[in-house]
Amino acid sequence: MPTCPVNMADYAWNGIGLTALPGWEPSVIERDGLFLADSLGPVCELKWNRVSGTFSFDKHIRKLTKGNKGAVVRAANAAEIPDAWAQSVDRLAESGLRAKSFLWQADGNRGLGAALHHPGTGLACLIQFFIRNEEDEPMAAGVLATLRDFTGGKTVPWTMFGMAARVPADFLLDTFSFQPGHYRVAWWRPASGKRSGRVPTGKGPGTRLDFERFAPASVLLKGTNLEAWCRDRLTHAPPKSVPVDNGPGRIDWRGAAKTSLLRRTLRREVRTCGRAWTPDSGNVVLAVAAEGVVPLGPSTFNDICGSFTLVPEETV
Amino acid sequence: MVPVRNEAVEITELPGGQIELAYPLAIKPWFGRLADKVGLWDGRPMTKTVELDEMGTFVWCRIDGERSVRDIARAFTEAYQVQPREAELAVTAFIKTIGQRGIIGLR
Repeated sequence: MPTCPVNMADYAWNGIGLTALPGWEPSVIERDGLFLADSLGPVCELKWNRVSGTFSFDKHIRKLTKGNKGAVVRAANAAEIPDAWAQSVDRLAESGLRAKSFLWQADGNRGLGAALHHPGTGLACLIQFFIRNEEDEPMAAGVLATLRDFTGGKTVPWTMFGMAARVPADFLLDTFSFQPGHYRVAWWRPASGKRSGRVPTGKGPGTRLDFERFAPASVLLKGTNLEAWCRDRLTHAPPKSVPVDNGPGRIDWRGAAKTSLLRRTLRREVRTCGRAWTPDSGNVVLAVAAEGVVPLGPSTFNDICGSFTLVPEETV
Repeated sequence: MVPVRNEAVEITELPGGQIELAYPLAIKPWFGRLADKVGLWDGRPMTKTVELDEMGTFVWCRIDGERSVRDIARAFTEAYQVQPREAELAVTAFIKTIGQRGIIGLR
């Protein structure tokens, strides 16, 4: 079985997850893609999608060959792939992920990758590692073995840059930003409940779910209180018309953000609920806000807020 | 990289413990000649002031010509309990901004 060093960092993003080696950090984050790099350069690329119907590994590897004209990409046979890699592929197969390995070579660089598909959830994933020397191969195999498909559950976890939370599976990842001092991850659930790619995420009637993290709280809250600060700074701040419950280090709100007789008649009343708090550990303000024409039930919202935590990261 | 203060910058401590910096403004020669001709400038160096917030003051106080940007970022991480990468980005952006204004140099 491939071995990996301790102190690895977990990343879970939009339905998939993996455990990265110490020093590996996301350098590019997309809705359906992750690029990990270390201090020397890129180390791992991950792209994924949900497909319906059959999945052809050969077709995808052919597509890769055509898409990378400067690179030589070819399906790997059993004799060419390292033992550790083969063991990782077998391990993934046990969890339902079928895989086909491939090799690539370009401009003196080489890589090892796999096209993966989970017939149960429809997840199609392409993962490739940049191999600099022989020692990288078992490391890459170790990381490959940690790949997880979370798309089949009732809730989907996400873990990024020291934050972790779970969202109901019918929410789609909408926008996100990770600026120093302000991290934001926004999810969207269309009122229709359809997950088809035809309706742009975040448009039309639905519910928006925002996770925000602000730091450092000791500076931000100096000379003010949590309620006043949240009303001023949150992306979806509690409207003035909505009363806020103040607790120790925490505020909650729930009410109608936009309401009128016409809106009520057309069932377009915008409901909002939210919570902001300063956790015991970490000098941060965490906030979760849900807003839209389809309200989130108190129990569901409570579960979401309860799942939003800080996770310790490796220190340099 | 080690940031070094510009000796021409005047430092004023504000009542809240924060700092205000007055730094000489770099003027484009063509603008200086034009301003001189229309009587808007008497040739003395122009200064501009910038008021630093608590975190800016924290970083400024650690720019001593000896600490590197990485050292300052590490101190920032410990003081404000933010993530190391977050501190590095914030400190680097701040140093870049004041560097562009000529308040500090890098060696």
